[in-house]
Amino acid sequence: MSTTAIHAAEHAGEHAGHEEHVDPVGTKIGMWLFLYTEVMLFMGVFIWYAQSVATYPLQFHHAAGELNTLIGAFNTLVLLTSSLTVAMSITATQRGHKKFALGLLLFSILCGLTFLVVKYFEWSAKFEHGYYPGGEHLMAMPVGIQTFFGFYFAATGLHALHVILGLIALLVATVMVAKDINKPGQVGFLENAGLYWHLVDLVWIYLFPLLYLVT
Amino acid sequence: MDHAHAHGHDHHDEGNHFVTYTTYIQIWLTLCVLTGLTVVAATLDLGQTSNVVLAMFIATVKAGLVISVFMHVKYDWGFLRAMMFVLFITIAGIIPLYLSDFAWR
Repeated sequence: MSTTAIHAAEHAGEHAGHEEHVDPVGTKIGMWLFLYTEVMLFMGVFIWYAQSVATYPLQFHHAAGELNTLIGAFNTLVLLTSSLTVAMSITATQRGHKKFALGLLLFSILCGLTFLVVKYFEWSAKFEHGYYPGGEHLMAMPVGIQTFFGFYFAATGLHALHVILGLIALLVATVMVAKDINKPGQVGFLENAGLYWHLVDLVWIYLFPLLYLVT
Repeated sequence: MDHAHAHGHDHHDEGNHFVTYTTYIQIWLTLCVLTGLTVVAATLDLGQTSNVVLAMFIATVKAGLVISVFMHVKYDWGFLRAMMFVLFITIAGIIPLYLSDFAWR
């Protein structure tokens, strides 16, 4: 079969899927399987942390003191709140409260953006003080401190990337709710975008104490 | 909450059960309190290992609430919960195996 034929067949399949057949169970299982691969990805990050903190306990203790707990806690509450409003938006859509659902989704997106803006200022402050991988100030510090900040930037960076992807998914879901593509009783995309957003929240629930509270 | 639960059993289509706003808000309040608790717990001087273990314990309680209620696993059908169980077994297996390798290296 030529590539164009495969493409045409896939396209026809997609089309049929949209027109006639909805498989919420399969969609959800598929989403969860994807989330499992994400869990495995972040598990690698957490194992890296466990090994590093066991190797450099004292230096991790000092380095974590450099981070602002208040900012970390604030961002935790921001993400928890956005998770609440995303979850509520699903109920609102199911009940047919479209305007309320849209408001909740826009608020969630605003929370996600707030998280990123706070993260931006946090990173900027660290960069200004030379605390970045390869930065003058950091390179002069003991290797355990360098490890901590290497972990800090890699883990929060990977997490921020997931926040950005989650925001895009939420934006698409918002448009789908607005255009009535997500109807009450058939909220597949919104639910899956919500699941992804909760995963982003879950990762932060673990990262926050590991980075900010080991002091 | 019971109402929503009953719905979850009635329909295999998970899109058809409603979890009430009140349930969600209660869970959110609990999560906020637990966040405060983990910040306070970090100020206690229990030794670094105990502090990390305590923080991870609180984080796991929070994760459990998010997974079961916000992510609807509590209301989902059995197959999906069985899938979750497989995930937990995998994590609970891999992490100690890795850490034991590190500890006895």
